Amino acid sequence: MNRINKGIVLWLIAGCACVSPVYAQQKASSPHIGYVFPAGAMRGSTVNVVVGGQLLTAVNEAVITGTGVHVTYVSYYRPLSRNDVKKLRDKLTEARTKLQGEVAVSTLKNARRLLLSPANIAKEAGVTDAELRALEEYRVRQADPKRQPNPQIEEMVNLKIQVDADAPVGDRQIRLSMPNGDTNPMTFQVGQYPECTEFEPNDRTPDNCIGDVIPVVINGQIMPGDVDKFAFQGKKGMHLVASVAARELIPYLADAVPGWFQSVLTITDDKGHELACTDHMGVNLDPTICVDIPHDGVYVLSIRDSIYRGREDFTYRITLGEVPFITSIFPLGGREGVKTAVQLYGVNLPESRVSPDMEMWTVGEHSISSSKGAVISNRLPFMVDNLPECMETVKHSDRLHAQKLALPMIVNGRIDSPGEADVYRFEGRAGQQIAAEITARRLGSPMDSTLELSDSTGHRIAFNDDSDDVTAGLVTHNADSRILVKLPKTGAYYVTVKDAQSKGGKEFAYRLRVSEPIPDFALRITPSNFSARAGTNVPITVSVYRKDNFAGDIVLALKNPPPGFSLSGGKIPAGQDQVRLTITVPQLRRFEPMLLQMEGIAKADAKEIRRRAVPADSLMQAFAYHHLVPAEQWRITVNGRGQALPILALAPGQPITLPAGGNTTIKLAGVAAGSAGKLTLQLNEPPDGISIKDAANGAIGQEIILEADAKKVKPGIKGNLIVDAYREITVPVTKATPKGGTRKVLIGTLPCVPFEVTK
Amino acid sequence: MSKSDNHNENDLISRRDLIQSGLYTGAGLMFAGGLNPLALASSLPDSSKKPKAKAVIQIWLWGGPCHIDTFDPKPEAGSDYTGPLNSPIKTNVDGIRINELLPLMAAMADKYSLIRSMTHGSFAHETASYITQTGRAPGGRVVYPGIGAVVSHFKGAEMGYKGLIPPYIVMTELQGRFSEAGFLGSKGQPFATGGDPAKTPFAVEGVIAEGMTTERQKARRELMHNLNSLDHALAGNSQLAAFSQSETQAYDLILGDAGKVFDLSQEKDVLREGYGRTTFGQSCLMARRLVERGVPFVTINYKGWDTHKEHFQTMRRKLPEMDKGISSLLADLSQKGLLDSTIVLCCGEFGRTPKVMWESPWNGGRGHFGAVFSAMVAGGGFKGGQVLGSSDAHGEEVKDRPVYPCDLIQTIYEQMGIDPSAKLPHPQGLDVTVCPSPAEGVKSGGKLKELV
Repeated sequence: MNRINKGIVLWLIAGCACVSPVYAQQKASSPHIGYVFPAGAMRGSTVNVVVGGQLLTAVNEAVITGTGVHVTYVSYYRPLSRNDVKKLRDKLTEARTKLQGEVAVSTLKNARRLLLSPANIAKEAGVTDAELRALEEYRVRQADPKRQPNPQIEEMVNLKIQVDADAPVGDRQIRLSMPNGDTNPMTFQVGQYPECTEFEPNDRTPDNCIGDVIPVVINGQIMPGDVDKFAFQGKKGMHLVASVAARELIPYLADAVPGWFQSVLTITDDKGHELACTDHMGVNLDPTICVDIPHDGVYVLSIRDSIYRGREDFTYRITLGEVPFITSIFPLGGREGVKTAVQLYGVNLPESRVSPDMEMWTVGEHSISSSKGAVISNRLPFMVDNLPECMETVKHSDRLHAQKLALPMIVNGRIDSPGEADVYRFEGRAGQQIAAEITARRLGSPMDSTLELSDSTGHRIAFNDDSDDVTAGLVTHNADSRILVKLPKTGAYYVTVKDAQSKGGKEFAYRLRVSEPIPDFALRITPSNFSARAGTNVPITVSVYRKDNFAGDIVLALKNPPPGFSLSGGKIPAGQDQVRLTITVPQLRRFEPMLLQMEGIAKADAKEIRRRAVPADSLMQAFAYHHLVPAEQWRITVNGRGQALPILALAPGQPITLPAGGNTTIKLAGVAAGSAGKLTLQLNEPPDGISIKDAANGAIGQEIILEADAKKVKPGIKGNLIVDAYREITVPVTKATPKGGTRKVLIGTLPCVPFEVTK
Repeated sequence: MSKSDNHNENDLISRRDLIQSGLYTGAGLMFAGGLNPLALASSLPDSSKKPKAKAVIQIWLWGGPCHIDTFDPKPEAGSDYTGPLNSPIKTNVDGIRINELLPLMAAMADKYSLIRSMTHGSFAHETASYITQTGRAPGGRVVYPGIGAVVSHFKGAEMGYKGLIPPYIVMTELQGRFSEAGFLGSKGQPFATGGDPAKTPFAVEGVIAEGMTTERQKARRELMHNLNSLDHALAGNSQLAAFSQSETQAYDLILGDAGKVFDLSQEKDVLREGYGRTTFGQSCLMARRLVERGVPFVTINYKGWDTHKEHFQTMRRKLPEMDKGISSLLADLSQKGLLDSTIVLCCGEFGRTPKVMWESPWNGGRGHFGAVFSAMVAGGGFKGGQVLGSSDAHGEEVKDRPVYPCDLIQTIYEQMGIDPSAKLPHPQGLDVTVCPSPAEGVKSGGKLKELV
């Protein structure tokens, strides 16, 4: 037994473990992962990766999106819980008591020393060396005042990831899989440069893991109070780039403020003088330093959290070297099918302009990069639209020199200097609806726009600073402006674009659309994955971003679903931004997760609009804010056996009508009378003011009465009602449940039914 | 004297000395007559009304305690709301139940009342703390003083408060989330004891030094004076003379009998055990000792209620601690005949999300919740055994009788004999009343007539 083990035995026996009792959790959360480390690998390499999360015991494989990357499950590790420590302590204490008894009656010389040695106590208790090591790890964690318990990332799954030499460079999404479903996805990056991993301690003495080779990608984790330093050889004249991916890997932390790892990057020279330091790159909160190396020597790159926080999920990847790096582009987009030259700004770029293949790119967001041979730069977003486009002209900063626009038009402009205003003029008709919208921040521009619409007399018709866009999942402050207005008279109108903070520069680019409203929408489904018992119904949420105030109904439908899947309540009522509905999964268990797709169909101006619903996860930022972060796949696992439940019997196609201030009676129907037995029915997150007044005993053939509180619900509100069915079970009196009693157990969810509140 | 000379002199004064100087400004300068008598005159309460309360002990559950897991249990809401704490216990008042981990408090519910309909709608610590302690929303040009600073202003030295102990004491540290004094400035600033009353000695900042005898403290004072050339440089300066007098009085607190108020070893062990040998338990005992000596406002900043994670584990640890501390405090005050004249207020800046957050990373935590929360109030003319207002079946919103922080604060002021419409001395001469006037448009459910 080594010294550590001796120490841990004494520590435990002395009862200093400060172990508090473990209390049974009422409900488990779903399997979840919080970080991947290292969060990437070079093409042509194989790496061992740790994935941290919770409830991962049953994990038996991992899946990753894209081609050329192969994942193998290796092992699972869970640190000791408080309960485990308590059990081990009890065993050791019991063993010591027993041995003390033996010492008392022993005639052996040195009996106390021999029998009561830590090694002997551990042996007597049946506590292994591995358990003692785990105990030591627990003790060290507990003794570190800077560490807080974080059960959500304590479990670890070890994976082996092999990346093919020709695997496409870029982001992938990795999930852990188990028989009952998958976890949430996390980012794993396929890189193009050699990689290394930090080795602690490197707070004071820089890590030499980089060696002589750059470019390199450094992988690391920041723990509380941690600063990671790396030495590298700099050569005079080198156009060095050091670029961090941290928030890019894990965009939001729910339980931290700021709600992500806010990294600070510094480069110092061989004399310790600071060459550069930053915590951002434009509006990107991951820092990038672009600096010319002044002389040959050993330089030190360091990274830390802005307020010295840290945890296993404060992971980072730093790309260091004379690598091509684009800082901004202009314009930010182009018209579908029209050749467009895009100016690149940055360092080490092999070209200053690129011409994307606009024949191939469809309407939507794409990305621009620059490549030379096998080396490719970072990517910046680029928007493709199908309206006519133009570039802004010079000198149009007042009404006199306003640039004329023939509508509809998208202008590619920028605020070149601080305080600048860009003024555009168009001719409008009385009663004409006009939409003006800036797209800038959503495409990575630092511009914080304002939009003003005024008439020929200078009278302000409309003004906007910021607008909401539920699809801007990674943008914490959507600073883009939007105006939708009905023109009061025929004549000239002026649109003035400014930066709200009076900033400007070549990177302050924007796209301004001025047109009549173009009704459209974008959809997000949450969650991006779930598992369900065969034949059951699962609540999901679909959120909609209604463009140009499109107000119509949107019908939701599964696109070419595998047999057995169906939607209930698949309509987003006119004017609403969200609907909760249920999806019914097949009656038979499937052993592989299935990928589903949903689309929304709507009609506007007699045209049909079809849009894919993008799977997403609702991630919390800093205890408060929620963002819908897109996932590449919508994955559903069907497992186990379902249970026949009653349904709410309605006439086909008819919603429940609920009079405000009144109630409605609905019958429960089902395939087999009595199959559901005695159930308690409860509404699942109903609209405020709608409740079940009476649900009889929940058996088939019985009635339930719904009521609407007139003070809280207004006539006209529509949506879906989701009903959960619970069964009451008797909890026997046992040691674990000394109180006994009864407990409600969720049996399942009924297919949702649409409702409408009437007068 | 050059600027650099000044620096050198200051360097001779240790941090401890500076803390002591802070004490002078808190207690000493009041004796030095540093306040504007005209401003004071405008804020005098109506002496014709005899106050029912002489002191307030504010137990501030820092971080926001869960109303459902303390004073407003909802066992019928199901386990999604109650978690494992689903068996509230009856109190000695029919119809009132509180959390199962508060049995000692349950046995004396006739001594306190519960407000189950506190609301302000703020879910952020800083804003909620400000609203709950000042009765007004933050923003605008005026930063209002908290309830302790206002009571200290009206019950401090200018109003005849005598004694060396500052009139507004915080145990053991200031919140830092907002300025307790607001525009009252240093005059309204509380004296934070620092240290830990559960340790012996209770090392009160600037008053009692661990491991230092009284004789050594006196010697240090002499040494400081010998080294400090400020006295010589500003000989005859009236401000310095006042400061000197304040210093003497503050040292009387440190070295004289007044300082013994902080010596908890003077209490019987059995009583100390009853309060609990915890920082909170001994703070409650300390609060009783301070009130007994005439201190009008004592705040116990009781940390650890911001339970985003490990909520139920924390409740099982903290609630018994709180139960011992508050029940002993009420019993002790009652036995000493002080409860009738001492208001005991217990609440935090808000409640917590009624629905348990079982998902990762919370794993059974509760978030911030300002839509409805609870407060406990006892003594000082407040009735016992009452429940005012209620929340809905899930503890998610006020069901009836909303009580806004300004309503509770106003009632406390009135019990203390402080006129809610009295003027406060604003440094720029703004017309500021103790409680918001109707013109300010602050939401109010009205004075808590039901409880007094």
